[in-house]
Amino acid sequence: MIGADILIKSLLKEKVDVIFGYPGGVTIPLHDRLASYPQIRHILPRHEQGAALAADGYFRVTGQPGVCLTTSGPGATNLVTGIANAYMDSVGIVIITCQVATTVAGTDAFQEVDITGITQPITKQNYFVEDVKDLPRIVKEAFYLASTGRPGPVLIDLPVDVLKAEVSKFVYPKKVNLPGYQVPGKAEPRRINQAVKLINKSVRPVALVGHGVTISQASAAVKKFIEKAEIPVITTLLGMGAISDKHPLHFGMLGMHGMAYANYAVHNADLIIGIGLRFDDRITGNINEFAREANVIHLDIDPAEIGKNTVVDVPLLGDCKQVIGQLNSKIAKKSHREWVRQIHAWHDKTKLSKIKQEGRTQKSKHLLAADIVREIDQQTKGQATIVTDVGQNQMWAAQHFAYSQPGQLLSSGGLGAMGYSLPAAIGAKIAKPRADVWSLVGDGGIQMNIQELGTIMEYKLPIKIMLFNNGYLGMVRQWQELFFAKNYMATKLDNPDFVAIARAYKIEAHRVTTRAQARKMIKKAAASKKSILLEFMVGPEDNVLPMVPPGNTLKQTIVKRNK
Amino acid sequence: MSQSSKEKKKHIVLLWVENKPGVLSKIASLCRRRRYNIDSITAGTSHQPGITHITIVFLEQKVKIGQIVSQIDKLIEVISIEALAPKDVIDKELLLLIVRDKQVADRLLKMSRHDVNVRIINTVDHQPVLEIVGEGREIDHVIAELDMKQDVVKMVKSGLVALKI
Repeated sequence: MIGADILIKSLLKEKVDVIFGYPGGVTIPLHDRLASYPQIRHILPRHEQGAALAADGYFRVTGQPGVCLTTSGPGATNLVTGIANAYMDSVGIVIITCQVATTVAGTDAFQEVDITGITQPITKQNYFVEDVKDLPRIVKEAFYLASTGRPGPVLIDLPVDVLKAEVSKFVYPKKVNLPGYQVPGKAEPRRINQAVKLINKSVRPVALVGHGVTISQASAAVKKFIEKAEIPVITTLLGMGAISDKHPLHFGMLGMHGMAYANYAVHNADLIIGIGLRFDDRITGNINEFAREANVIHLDIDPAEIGKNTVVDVPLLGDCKQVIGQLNSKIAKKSHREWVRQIHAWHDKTKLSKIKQEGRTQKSKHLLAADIVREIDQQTKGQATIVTDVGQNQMWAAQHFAYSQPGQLLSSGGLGAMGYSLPAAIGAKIAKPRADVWSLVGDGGIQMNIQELGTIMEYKLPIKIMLFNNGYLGMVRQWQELFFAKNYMATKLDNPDFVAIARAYKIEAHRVTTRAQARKMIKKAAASKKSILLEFMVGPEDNVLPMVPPGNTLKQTIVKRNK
Repeated sequence: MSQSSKEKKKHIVLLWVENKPGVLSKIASLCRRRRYNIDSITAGTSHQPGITHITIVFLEQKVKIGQIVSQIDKLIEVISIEALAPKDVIDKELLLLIVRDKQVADRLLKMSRHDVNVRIINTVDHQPVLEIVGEGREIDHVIAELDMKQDVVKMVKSGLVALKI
């Protein structure tokens, strides 16, 4: 038995069933041994970034850490965007980078790079394995850290001589010993009492639901909470699905491209209850004006997030599910009918179905992205798992699909990494083969990881790829139009024939230019048991609305385009 | 925010950390990327085997200290961290300096009292070498008294080490 076996046996102890791996010089001993462990499926992406983002997708649909594995040097550096993405969005992944031998480490050996140094600011923890006897403990700690508390990426840098070291016995530790790491559970009773007081006396409360609710599996508890005190609920991008969009107290997403009525509600609230979110600048708008009349209760498992961006009246440090449970047993049953009616009135004036054409320049014959997303929603009966890319496609996907399940929308939130959609969709599909996975992607983003069509081809993954082609890097173009006098510097794309590319990868593909075709093709895609790519020719200069221009307050949400 | 809370002052933060490779670098680089202003940082052995004690003095706004403590506490190797008021710590700092002549040395020797200890420990090229040990604030006073151009040939300071009481 060698170090590689120790690693694999440790992974098996952690119930790892899939590795997204890419071989290279120093992984060969490990890949050699992996062949003897059929319990672990090895998926070969076509670029290491694809491995990291697939592991990200794996976590988001299962709640279990995704695992990726690469070689040293360029293999490791290619992971960096995926690791940063996981760090920003609290996604638990375990990254194994093989490394040059300890005997030459530190000498600029071939394909040597200091990956623990490089990834230190974007990992929850990372390890350089000096000695094979430490390996089981390190793997145990890595999975524990990646999946508990606020999840995050953990990297293990594994020198090739450690991988090859002879070992006589495998012993996996039962417990971790991390004196500097505590996982918050329940909140302090005194804080609960303070929060309950504020909740009971509030007249215009709003609950803001973030990714933490999905991670902590707190949806049922939060639903009970908002129903008991009749509190309108609004979600962040990554909170979508944690409370069903169809719930009568759910009023959409807030923020820069949030629903105007959601933004108005937050702006006018007298109490904000933030649950598992971090008051990111994309949701608060101008922070000095954010919820200016409101008291703020902030519930989060990461103490450093509480009070970081906004002034908090009552901090609730703990796990969303447990703390909401504490609140549920104490808050008064209450009605906020007037307040809910007020938000409904805003909703009726600014709802998306009413303003979906407002982003266009004129009567355009091009397809409207909103219609495509709504059609996907209809044809999949709202059950699809949607994996967006970043930019306009992402906002349209977030806005126009009615999410009803946690983990139904996968998106690169904090990092905003173009290229996310295809590899994350692969990770989601591998993790949950029965999920109906749709990748919604722009013509810019698909080209950032277009090589992953090869992975879809090889593993025959029936992923539905919906490509919104507007011939621009659309979101940047929108900003150039609005804030830089239409100076479309470097945003016009000279695109290849995407249909031909997909077909070259043996993926069925069609270009779609009319509404009727769109309906027919989406229906076909929904019924298909194979991968399919549909290229929708959408309006080149369509904008995403509503929009809060950067630096503005939420009440300044724009719902009409200057035509 | 009032003017006084924006003012940058010295804040003492004490840490107990696992003695593992890279811990000090992790803390320092976290402070760099989050733009926390370190005035001094010292690390050394403690009474507990395998555990290092670190004293950091931040030159920062008071309102930022809570966030700084929370962010550093997230590092897995950090066992505990606490921001402390001056009255809750005993602190000491060491100044080593070579002064121009005996007159300067005499002047400094006169500053010696119970919370600052000044003594001559050597001479280099007929110039006195002094060791001054005292509370951080007192050392700051001593430095304020010195004319760096006229009085001092060379000066180095240790950074603060503090003990919670």
